[in-house]
Amino acid sequence: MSVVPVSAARLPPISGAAHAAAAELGRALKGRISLDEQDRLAYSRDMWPKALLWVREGRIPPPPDAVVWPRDEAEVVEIVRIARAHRIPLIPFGAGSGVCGGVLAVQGGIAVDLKRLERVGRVDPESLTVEAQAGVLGEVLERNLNAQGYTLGHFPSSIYMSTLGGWLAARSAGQLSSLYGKIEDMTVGVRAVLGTGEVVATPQRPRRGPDLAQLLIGSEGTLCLFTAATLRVHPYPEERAFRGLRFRTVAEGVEAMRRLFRAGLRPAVARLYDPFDTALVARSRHKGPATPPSLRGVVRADVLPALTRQLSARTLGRPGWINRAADLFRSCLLVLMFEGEARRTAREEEHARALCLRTGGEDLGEEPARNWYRERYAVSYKMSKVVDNGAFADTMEVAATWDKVLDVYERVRAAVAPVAFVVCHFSHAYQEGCSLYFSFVASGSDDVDQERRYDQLWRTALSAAVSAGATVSHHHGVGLLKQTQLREELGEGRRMLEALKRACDPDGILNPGKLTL
Amino acid sequence: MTDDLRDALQRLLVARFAAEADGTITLSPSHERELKAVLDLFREHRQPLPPNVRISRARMDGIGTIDPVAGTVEAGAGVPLARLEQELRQRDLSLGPLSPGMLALDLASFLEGPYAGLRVVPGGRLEALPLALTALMSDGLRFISRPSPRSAAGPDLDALFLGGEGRFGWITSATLRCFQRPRAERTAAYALSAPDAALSSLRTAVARGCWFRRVLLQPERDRVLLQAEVIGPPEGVERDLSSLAHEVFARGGRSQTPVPPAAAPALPEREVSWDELGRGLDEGRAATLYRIALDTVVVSGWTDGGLPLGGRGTPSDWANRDVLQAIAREADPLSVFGGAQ
Ligand SMILES: Cc1cc2nc3c(=O)[nH]c(=O)nc-3n(C[C@H](O)[C@H](O)[C@H](O)COP(=O)(O)OP(=O)(O)OC[C@H]3O[C@@H](n4cnc5c(N)ncnc54)[C@H](O)[C@@H]3O)c2cc1C
Repeated sequence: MSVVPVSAARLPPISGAAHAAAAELGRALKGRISLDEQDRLAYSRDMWPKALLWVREGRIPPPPDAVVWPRDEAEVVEIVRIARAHRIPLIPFGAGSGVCGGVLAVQGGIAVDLKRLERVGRVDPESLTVEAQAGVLGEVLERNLNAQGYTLGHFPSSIYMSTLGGWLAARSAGQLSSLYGKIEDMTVGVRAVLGTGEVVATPQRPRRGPDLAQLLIGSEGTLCLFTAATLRVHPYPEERAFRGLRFRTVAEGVEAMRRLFRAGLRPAVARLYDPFDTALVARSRHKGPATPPSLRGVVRADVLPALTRQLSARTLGRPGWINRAADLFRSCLLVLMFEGEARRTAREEEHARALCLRTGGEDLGEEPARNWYRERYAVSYKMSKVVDNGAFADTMEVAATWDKVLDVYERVRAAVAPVAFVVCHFSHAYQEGCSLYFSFVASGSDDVDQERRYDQLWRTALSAAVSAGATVSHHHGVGLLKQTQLREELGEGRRMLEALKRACDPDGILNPGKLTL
Repeated sequence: MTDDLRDALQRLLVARFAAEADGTITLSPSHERELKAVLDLFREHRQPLPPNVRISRARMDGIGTIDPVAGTVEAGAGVPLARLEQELRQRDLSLGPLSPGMLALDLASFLEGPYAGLRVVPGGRLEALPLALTALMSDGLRFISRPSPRSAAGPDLDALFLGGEGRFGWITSATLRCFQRPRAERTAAYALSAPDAALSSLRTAVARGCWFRRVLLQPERDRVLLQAEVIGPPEGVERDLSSLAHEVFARGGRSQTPVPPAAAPALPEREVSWDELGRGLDEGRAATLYRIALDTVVVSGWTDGGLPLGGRGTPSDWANRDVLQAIAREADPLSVFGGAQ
């Protein structure tokens, strides 16, 4: 679905259905509803870089008609009932940190901000689980658990500005996912309100039948509004062990990662930076030895500042040239971190180090990995100067099995090289494969050219990744951005997604226009 | 089933159509295309699969590509897991520590039945054995998921088929995740003062990453014996044994001489919660454990409690039954797979 942005100075009028629903909603929520322009403006977008381009031009995506702030699950049920009666869309809204346009109100409707559902329960020390409400911010949740002596182990770079509900809806991954898993791995059960208004709670095992939780997780607001989840927690780690290693080539580094995971080792972090990424950051602003970038933000924290210093916007207009220059760099950096019980952590790290050395790695000591750990949330929320000068940046995270990882890497780089400057790191690894996280920087001559290039970049990059066997997303989700490729990936199986939609949201009120639904 | 449909099925399958004296009919298509043709016939005749018709996928038992790099294998729905495991071991791979009950099944029964295709990975998480599935949906179209270690491309639709008892579609093949063949196996035995101490040692060790093939728990008058069989690469086994010992000693346990493990007979298995396991031990029941996960364990030989894992379940017992049945109605409007019962 293509979205036509509107002028931020003149918002479209509120729909009749929204006006009609507003009075009822106002009563049900004791006034916690807004039809104000500022609120509609604030809830019109997330962190999708394309929407950021529009903002730079004084435009915004079509805003919701209204915003509501429920305080508990019963109020969410009531919102769904009223929206159904008025046939008005509801757009679940966490913290708006999504990067694919998942919260855009493409058909108008009501943004449902769930952040007031923020309670976190006591950890059950026997089962090592905790129940938390879906609107809690990631960082608040983690601090609460730390105070009880536990960790969730979920550390997305956006932890300060994303919610549990958003994580569930987009199948989020944290930086330590290789040990603790993605959010779907740590969820024991969910509570949610379906588009029918029915409240579902998925029970813990043992239970019979398909796992409904796994059918709702990843639904990006199209099947349900999450209200709470029971999550697996872990005792706060006793010890951390760090190691940085240099490899002569990407292939060698990827092979080392593969061997680590195939050998059953479970580092919390295993991130391999491709050569130019490694080199760029060695020259970046951070003090101390070569600090790898996490390349974690969409509004680039590390790469863009480094590039602004070293490249002009004019050079960015010739990405092929920069990409060729990048080929001169060869060696790449692997950052490893283990955590957990003290003795086991030390032993695993020792074993991993030996295995990496056998695979051609050179030991750089602990420092590169310690640096990475220190800087792991150093995400800049400011637009970089180079962006002001007409460049734009985005990131693409896909995943593939080990046999395909290098092919995905090469094909995406080759496809994107004429359009954008590209770097990549490999992270979120499992026994069978890992995620590839590409960062792109490109520029256009004017607003129209930038948007055209942005679309071309994504089409090219994602098609190359998918044709090499990758899945369209590892942890950012689909939103509006990747719908075409999702449709391809689902093929005839999309029928099952449609069946889910009809059963959970028969009136199609939940986040319409997303996930191809 | 109408005579017309019966004739059509017989013409299609010839010798692979078997009618018993008691009225049971077994259809044994030998590949996916033939299974699709069977489903097409039921759909064309607008008839659901009647209870007396059994469709066996035993002939769809091919083992496809074994990829040692990704550690995956492609397998047909009818492959017996024991045979698959044998083949994999020759290629230095393994499905991991499966229980005798699991190994006695073919792939489709393991995935679609109460085991729901789950195995345990180091760290104690339950994970679906398939990386990707191919299944036939009720309209004869193919559901094919993409092999990827993880994905955020919408909901995990494979979940409809795992534990789905064939209500949403029939799995025809799958790409399965394999481990490296465990090169070492060691057995360690301990005595602890009480069931609580034994279970919390074990559970903590699992959370730390210990990977057990099997654990025996034997409550005695004033102590509980815990005997654990640890598998993995040699260094991993050493690490795991040391972690387990650490947990046991921290709870006042002592080492014992392990009893040589007996060959495991295929007894009925049940999935039970740790609480239930604890209650059983308190009552003096011994337990042989498999698939020891943080959520639950599989107990062999218990005849009550938890979730029985043998045979097939029915959707009327499902958790979240109403929603799942509503999905089944949407996915299979003609009720070819028996629809929503
Ligand atoms: C700088 C930066 C770094 C990032 N790093 C990471 C990272 O390391 N790992 C990662 O996984 N992601 C990362 N992201 C992406 C983003 O943080 C995740 O997608 C996150 O899961 C979104 O959470 P949110 O609460 O902000 O959701 P929103 O952006 O508000 O919503 C995202 C989607 O979820 C739906 N939704 C939200 N709440 C609910 C609910 N309660 N019920 C149902 N649907 C709901 C929305 O409708 C929308 O479709 C990053 C983003 C930025 C800007």
